Amino acid sequence: MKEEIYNLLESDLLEKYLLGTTSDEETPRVEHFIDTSLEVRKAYIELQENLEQYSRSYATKAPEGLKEEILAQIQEPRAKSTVINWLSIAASAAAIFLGFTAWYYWDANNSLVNQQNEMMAEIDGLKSNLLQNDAQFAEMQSELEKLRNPETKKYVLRGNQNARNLKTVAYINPVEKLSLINIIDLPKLPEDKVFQMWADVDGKMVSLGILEKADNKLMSVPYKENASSYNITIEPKGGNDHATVENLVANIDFNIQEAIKIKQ
Amino acid sequence: MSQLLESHIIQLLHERDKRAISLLYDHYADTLFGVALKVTNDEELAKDVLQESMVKVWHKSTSYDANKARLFTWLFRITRNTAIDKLRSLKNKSEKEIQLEVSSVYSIGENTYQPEHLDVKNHVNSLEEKYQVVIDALFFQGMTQQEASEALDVPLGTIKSRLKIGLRELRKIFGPEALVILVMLGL
Repeated sequence: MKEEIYNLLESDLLEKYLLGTTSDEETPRVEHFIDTSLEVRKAYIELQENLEQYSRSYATKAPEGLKEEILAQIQEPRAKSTVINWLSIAASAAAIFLGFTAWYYWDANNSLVNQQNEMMAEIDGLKSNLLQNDAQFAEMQSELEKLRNPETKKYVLRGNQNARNLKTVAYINPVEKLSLINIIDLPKLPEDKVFQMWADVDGKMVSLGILEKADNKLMSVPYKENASSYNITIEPKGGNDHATVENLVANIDFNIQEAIKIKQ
Repeated sequence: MSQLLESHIIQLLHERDKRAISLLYDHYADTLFGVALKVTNDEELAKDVLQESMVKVWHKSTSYDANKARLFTWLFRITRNTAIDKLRSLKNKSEKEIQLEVSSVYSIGENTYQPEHLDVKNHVNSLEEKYQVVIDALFFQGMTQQEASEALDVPLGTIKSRLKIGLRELRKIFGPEALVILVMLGL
């Protein structure tokens, strides 16, 4: 123990401890001897006194006004407060950032949902169109089958000198009781006039409807049993209850047609 | 400083009472400024060091342990280390520039000492220079004994012995007779 104390006092450990420069391993060792050895403790106290006296020998008047500056400085919020302020600012910035990010993702999500809805609507539209096309296709197929039917007879109605460009084809199936017309072309009429189609049934003209341009499309017209002819007249806008015979522009007589076919 | 006053200051420090800093300044500022000046050789730097040190003292006030060191020892450590750190920091930035400033611009030396300290200074000066140089290198310049040995071109063993003898001589200087002078000077 004495040798250890001697070695400690001969070393510079006590001086280093005085200045606070001992290592983490050295500090507890020196403190142990200060606490347990009267000789070391006495040396340490003397060292501190010497240091103070020696330092006082170099005392120099401190600058004027420095005390007030220091006292003012320690009156200010401590660094910790500043840290808290910075932390608060950082937390606020983070909150704003998170809020903005949340809003951004919420907005992006809404856009995606809207886009998805639009796409679903488009898909629904396409499905509807597809179904419509299928239905049209089926209808056309059905019409085509009717036209191909051996019982279906084709009649061409051509306009007279009053409607040279008029050309309509009628398809009539007396077995299926079907009547279709295909308006190939219609001359332009004044705004207050229309073409109206009639069937001559037992000497009485029965209206089959008003002809409208239908882009070469087949249209169904009421089938009239025992019709002897189809006739097209020019009538006032909105149609007429009775055919104006003097305005007849196209006519086809089924009996004559049949007679021609038989003759051929 | 009386034990009673020192105990009072320590109590105020532990209670986070700002009057502690005022009292510390009144009783230690000149000595600590002298320490800072001795380390930095620069009055402006020494002023900054003292200011920073006193603020550090305030912030570390509750960590002071009177069982491990006297109040002055604690204050000395803080001031010395602050001064050394500041000097090293400046030297790292521009070592050459600082050396020029220290040697040619700033006023240092006897002119800055207060007359009431001259007697004590004379007593210290009675210590042979070879001992003063070693004590200054170790206590004020932040050197280890090995560094002092290399810087002063003196064997390590000689550094150790000069430190011991120098401190012993100081004890004689600041013995009972010298203490009477110090008390009369109000130090």
